[in-house]
Amino acid sequence: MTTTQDLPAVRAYLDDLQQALAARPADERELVLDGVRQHIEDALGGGADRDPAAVQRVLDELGDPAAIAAESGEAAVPAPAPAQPAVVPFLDRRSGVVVTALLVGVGGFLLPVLGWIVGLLLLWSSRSWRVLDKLVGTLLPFALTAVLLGVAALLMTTQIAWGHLAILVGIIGGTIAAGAYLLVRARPRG
Amino acid sequence: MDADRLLANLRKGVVESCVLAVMREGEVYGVDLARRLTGAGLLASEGTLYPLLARLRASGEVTTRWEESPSGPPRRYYRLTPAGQRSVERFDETWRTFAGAVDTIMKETGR
Repeated sequence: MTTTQDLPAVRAYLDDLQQALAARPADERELVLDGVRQHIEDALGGGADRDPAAVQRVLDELGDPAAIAAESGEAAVPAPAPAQPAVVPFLDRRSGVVVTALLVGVGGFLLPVLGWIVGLLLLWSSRSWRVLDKLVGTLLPFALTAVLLGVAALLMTTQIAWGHLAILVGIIGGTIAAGAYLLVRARPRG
Repeated sequence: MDADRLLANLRKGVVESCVLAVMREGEVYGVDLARRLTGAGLLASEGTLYPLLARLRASGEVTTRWEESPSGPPRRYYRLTPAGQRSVERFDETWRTFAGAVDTIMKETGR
């Protein structure tokens, strides 16, 4: 069976189009050529209508192959990169900030030592505090303990009990103070 | 800018969505789609439909299917994918707002 592609005018048209599309990627070129071939086939009623004038009319309506190729090269407005989901990680939200500060402040009493460590891990993973504030939040209990021990030494207390008290007050007071400090200094992102 | 150039620029952003819009009515074959859009003045010539269809197929918004024809060779039908459906709905909404805004400003300022 002869197809419309055997018609000289159609063959010439498709050759021109192929030439015009030469710079396009092969798969795209094939899709376009295939679509146009099919269009001609359908428009001419499966090759039954061979009247040269009718053939020419179909090709005219398809238009200049150069215009088709130009449309092919015309990248549509490039799709923007998929928008980052506007989900602020839990840690950076207000609720995450409060949980972190509470764990640092009192977590160590609820779940001895471990709660405090978890709090510190959250604190250092968060973007809601500046590094300086994270350092203060972490070191405050030690600093306060050191100061109280120093005071105890200055008072020339030889009783071990005062040293223990200084450590106890330093650790407990220091951690609670650290939690409160973090609550005040937090800059939640969302 | 002359009228032809202006029209070409205006078509650029919208014609792909118009291709998708026609397919909302159901699957179509290329010739019908090309004639309808050219008749509506949305395509410069029928052949320029095919690069658009190639792009829409590559982006997964349109898919195709062959159907045997009682008279002649099989025909290729084009239809929307769910992604294409979403694209055209989004465009429809955005377009109505935009067209309304342009219309309003033209009416307010026109003599």
